[in-house]
Amino acid sequence: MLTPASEEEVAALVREKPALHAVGSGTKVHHGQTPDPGEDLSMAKLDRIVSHEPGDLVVTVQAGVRLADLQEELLDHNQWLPIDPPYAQATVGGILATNSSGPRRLAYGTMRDLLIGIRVVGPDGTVTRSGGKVVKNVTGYDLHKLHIGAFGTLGIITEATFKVRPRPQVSAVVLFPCTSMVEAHSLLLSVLASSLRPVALEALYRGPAGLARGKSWALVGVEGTRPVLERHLKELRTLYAAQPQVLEGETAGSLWDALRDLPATARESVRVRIAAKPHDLVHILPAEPTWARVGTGLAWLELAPAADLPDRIAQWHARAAERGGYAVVESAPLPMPGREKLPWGLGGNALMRSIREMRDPARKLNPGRMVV
Amino acid sequence: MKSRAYEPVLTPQAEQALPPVTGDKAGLLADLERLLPPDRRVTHQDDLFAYECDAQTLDRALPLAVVFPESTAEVSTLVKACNARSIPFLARGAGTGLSGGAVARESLVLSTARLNRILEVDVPNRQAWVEPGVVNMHLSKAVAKHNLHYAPDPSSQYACTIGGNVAENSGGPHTLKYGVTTNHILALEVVLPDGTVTMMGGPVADLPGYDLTGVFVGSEGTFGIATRVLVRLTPLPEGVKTILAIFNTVVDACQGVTQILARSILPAAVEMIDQKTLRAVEKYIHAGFPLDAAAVLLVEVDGLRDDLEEQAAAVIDACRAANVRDVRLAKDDAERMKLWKGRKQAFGVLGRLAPNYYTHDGVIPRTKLPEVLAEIARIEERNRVMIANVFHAGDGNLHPVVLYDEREPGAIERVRKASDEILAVVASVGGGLSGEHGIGIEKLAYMKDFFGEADLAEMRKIRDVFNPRGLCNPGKAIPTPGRCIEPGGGKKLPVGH
Ligand SMILES: Cc1cc2nc3c(=O)[nH]c(=O)nc-3n(C[C@H](O)[C@H](O)[C@H](O)COP(=O)(O)OP(=O)(O)OC[C@H]3O[C@@H](n4cnc5c(N)ncnc54)[C@H](O)[C@@H]3O)c2cc1C
Repeated sequence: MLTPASEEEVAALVREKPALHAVGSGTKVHHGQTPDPGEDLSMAKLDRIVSHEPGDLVVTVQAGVRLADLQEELLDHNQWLPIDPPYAQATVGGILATNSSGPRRLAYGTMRDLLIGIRVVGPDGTVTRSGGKVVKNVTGYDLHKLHIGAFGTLGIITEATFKVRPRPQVSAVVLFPCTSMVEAHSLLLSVLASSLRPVALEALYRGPAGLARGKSWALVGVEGTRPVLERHLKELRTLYAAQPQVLEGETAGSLWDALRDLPATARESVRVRIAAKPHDLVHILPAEPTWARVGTGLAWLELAPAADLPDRIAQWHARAAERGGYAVVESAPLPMPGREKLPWGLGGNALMRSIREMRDPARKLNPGRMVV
Repeated sequence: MKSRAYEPVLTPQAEQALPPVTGDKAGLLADLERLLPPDRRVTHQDDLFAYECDAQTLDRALPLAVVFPESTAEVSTLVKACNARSIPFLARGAGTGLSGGAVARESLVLSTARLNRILEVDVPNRQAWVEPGVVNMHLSKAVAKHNLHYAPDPSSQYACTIGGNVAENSGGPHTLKYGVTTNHILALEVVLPDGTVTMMGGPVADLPGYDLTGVFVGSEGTFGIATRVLVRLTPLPEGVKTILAIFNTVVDACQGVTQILARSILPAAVEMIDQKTLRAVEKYIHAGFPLDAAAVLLVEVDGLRDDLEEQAAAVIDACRAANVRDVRLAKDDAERMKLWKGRKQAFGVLGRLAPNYYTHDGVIPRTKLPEVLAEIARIEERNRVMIANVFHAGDGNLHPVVLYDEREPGAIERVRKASDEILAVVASVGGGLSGEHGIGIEKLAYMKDFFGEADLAEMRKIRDVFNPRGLCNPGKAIPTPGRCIEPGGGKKLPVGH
């Protein structure tokens, strides 16, 4: 494992080595295609918060900073980076490279809504940047967007600048027990269509920590001020025959963490992500997904490795694609027989391939990890 | 009909960016006759003057022709014809751009005026497919009956098009809370610069692959022509409160912004209007602004009605902490609309204070507002120019408007010097050259003050992947290397909005 301590050292190693795999905390090494040979390059030592001016609501960090550490720094100023992807120890660089997000994305968006500037090391060791440290900016192309979800194939991210937000005053989860996944979906879709402004709408089949297993649940996340929470509670209580359970404070906190970490629990299975428009999702889901981010139109299945997985996933994909959606594999155990046959992406297109070819013709950066 | 001799009016930097075209112009004109009926092409010089420039009128040049395609297939055919004849081309929306992005010297202009249909509104999933020529405000009006709107609201929204917004990544007063154009574009159908049609993004979340939509938005028309746009629609806020805060000094008003942002609220808008602008507005619009205030903040909070009182109280409290002279809540919708009318028409009335004006668009970290505004006042004094400030303070997006009379000896030179100094201050505090108006041909010379050559080279390389022959809106957004571009120059300065 190579362990550079600065951007210059990253650049020097990139120049010197034929192929490199950038690694943050390694929480998502089982995401993406099985990589081609190359040396691992740990970003863990680039762990500095470069600048945080609370009054600007902007923070700049090195890519190896762990999100949890960043949140702690921001908490001192009653702020946060409003994103809640799985794995507390995940680094900012890894979260960007995998476009990782969590339940609250319904209200706060994903990395593409929060990232305002970047520095990257290209395959020839050249450091370039785009964007800046201002919250609104059209100076130059938004190249940083290309690095989100690119698995490091267009450059090694060394530094990122984000918009941050004040922390909400209250945070609660409202839980409805449901008799089926379909019922949970329809309840959550009616919340989505109402005048309420939830920050998360999640349907669970297998309950996470603290929730009874084998049951379906509909979860409504609410954040903001006390009056806004009261309004939500009042309307949510009239929505549905069964009375919901309301979690606030620490109990809500641990449920939020459990929701956030849903993808982190089953590393031994193949995780499939199915996407559709929110109102289409329930119509294309195979029996019993593991959980669904109903407001966003995403659902996940956790499946035991099996030889017929590619065919099954292809069928789900075909159904989803009829409505503009898709089904792809997000993660799978490493190693796993037949891993390379799994559908890791949508095949990309000519433009994406040309961008990669221009950027990294020798395939030095995270080779093999991403299909475009 | 024989045309009179025509000379384009271009600053030296624009002249360098847009050299005369050498392709087969006669061949393309013949193609157009074959491809389109006469009412969908403009080729006579007299009719082309309307397409000489956008709302930045310093750089002006006649296009070769203007065409009005009605379908993606027609756009593709026309772009292929340009390729075959080696003639540059660009898309044009409403021509309200403020950086010369739509100047098309001797090139083909593809107007999106007839690509103006709202194709499909998906109310439950809150998205809509529209053609690029749809006017921003028409879209919001069309979906209002579903309690939805298209959130980015440039002050030009009564005229500007979604295609132009996509190209410029436009913002507006309410983008402080709701985000700019890029946060609201889900997918694009694009005719690439070689004429092939491609799709970027889609109606669902987290599509695997590179975020082409994200990099296309804000590419100023240099990556291809968007022919269909999938936008996100946002529920209308249930309630709105508008606050007018009156300050005795500009620095206090800046402190007010800082204080507001330090509370746990995210206002929908925080706009600053200084005394020169207030007086001009009151003279023509009577929005109800005090004439003796050094500056006012127009602050809006919106959302669920339950905590709006609380949010408004927090804003008022924040202003008090910043030495506010007087702060009050608009009492009803009528007063609210009047205040916003004053804000949104501010640029129009400033235009009546002087024959010419030039609007900067630099964006700075918000905590730097007090020192930068103080420095702009010193620049104004030192250079004996007049500068009005009316801007998106909550985002740190300055709009110093330099007012002048080009006929006055030495005025241009003084304005140019003041402009250089303003941008130098913006750069020195870690700011950006443009918050929303784009680089176009008008700000090319300053790009080197904000990015290194390696950064610009990378941007050019990505552009060349989309636009390898450089025929699609050439010369814009990113300066060409090896040419030492002098800022400004020529006879006039750009006239802003
Ligand atoms: C009074 C006034 C107020 C303004 N206020 C604001 C404001 O608050 N915020 C803000 O951000 N801007 C503002 N602007 C600037 C301007 O309105 C925006 O940049 C707007 O998005 C331009 O849209 P348009 O349709 O007029 O585009 P045009 O001026 O016609 O074109 C602008 C650029 O977009 C390209 N383009 C147009 N259509 C397409 C397409 N379909 N595909 C690819 N490229 C395309 C053109 O080639 C050109 O480079 C203001 C302008 C005025 C005059």
